[in-house]
Amino acid sequence: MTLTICIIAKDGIVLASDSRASSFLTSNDTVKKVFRLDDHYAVGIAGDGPLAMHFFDTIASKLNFRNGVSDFAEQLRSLGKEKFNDFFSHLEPKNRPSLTILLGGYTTVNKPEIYQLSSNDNFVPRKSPTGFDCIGIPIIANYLLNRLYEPEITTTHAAELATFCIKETGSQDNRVGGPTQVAIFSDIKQYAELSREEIEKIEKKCDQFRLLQKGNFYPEDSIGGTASSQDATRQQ
Amino acid sequence: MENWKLTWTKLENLSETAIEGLPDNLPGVYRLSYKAEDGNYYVFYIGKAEKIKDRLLQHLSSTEENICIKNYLSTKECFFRYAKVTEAYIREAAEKQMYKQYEPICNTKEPEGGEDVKVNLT
Repeated sequence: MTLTICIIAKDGIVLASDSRASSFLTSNDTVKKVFRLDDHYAVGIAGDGPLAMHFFDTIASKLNFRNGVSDFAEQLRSLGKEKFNDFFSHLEPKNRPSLTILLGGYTTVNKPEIYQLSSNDNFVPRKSPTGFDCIGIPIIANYLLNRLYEPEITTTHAAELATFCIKETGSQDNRVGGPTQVAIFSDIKQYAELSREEIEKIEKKCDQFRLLQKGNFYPEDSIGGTASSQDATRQQ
Repeated sequence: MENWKLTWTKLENLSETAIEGLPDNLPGVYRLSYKAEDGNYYVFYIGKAEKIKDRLLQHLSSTEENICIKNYLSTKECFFRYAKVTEAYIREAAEKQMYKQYEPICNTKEPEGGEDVKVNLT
């Protein structure tokens, strides 16, 4: 399974994902789920990874980036519907593989927007009203983003927030995991993926974040205890 | 799973005077806490040491590198309690267990102790 997150920051867009592909019996942590489409457009995916890669390869030459992200989402809807009907004409819609796409890009007046499109829903684009969106296993990330996201966040900190959400989800759900992938771009800054070293630094920082002060629920017993301590003893 | 009983001391003010009263060469595990406005004592750091007295004095000294501990010591009324533990692997396990229970804000990484030993934390 997957967790892919897109966040609109005040200076750009951040796309991040885990790298785990899991089936009933196996999992591997090397799957790429964030893709550059253009210098200022990118997608994150959840679902059938190999199918997504082939899908984007086959439609790449037909994409027009000049009319803004809303128009681009419509292109993805049209091409997605066409390709899925072509690929899986032998299957009932409910039996077809699932592919969900998070699209980040800019309007013709340079406003950042996020769209979610799903093969289960004929790729109808849904625009994020919140400044962030998650696909795959989104529950924990949605909770965290609802609590922690503000539009004033910078791309640097949005990358940390996205990584934190992915790591927190991974700590509770083993269908999310592996090295995190993060890409940042804006209307003026070209798409760039963070290096492994940069992401490791962020992950290390995330380890030190304490969302909840667990100790607040376990105060010290201020009365108990002895004047001096005897050595620990093994109990039967 | 091994079960070990630790004898925890009373909460004591984290001061040089109190620490100087501890035995030398005392191995064990300890917790640092602060008194909050609600009257409760909340743990902000846990640790283990072969010589608890030296380690606690080090926390109070100017060479303390943990900024988080320094902040608590300089802004709050702080306390400590400890338990004597001679066996190193029990210290490590107790430290890990304390970390998991309190997730203290000044411990920057999870200790590596084993999870096959259970100790009492009070």
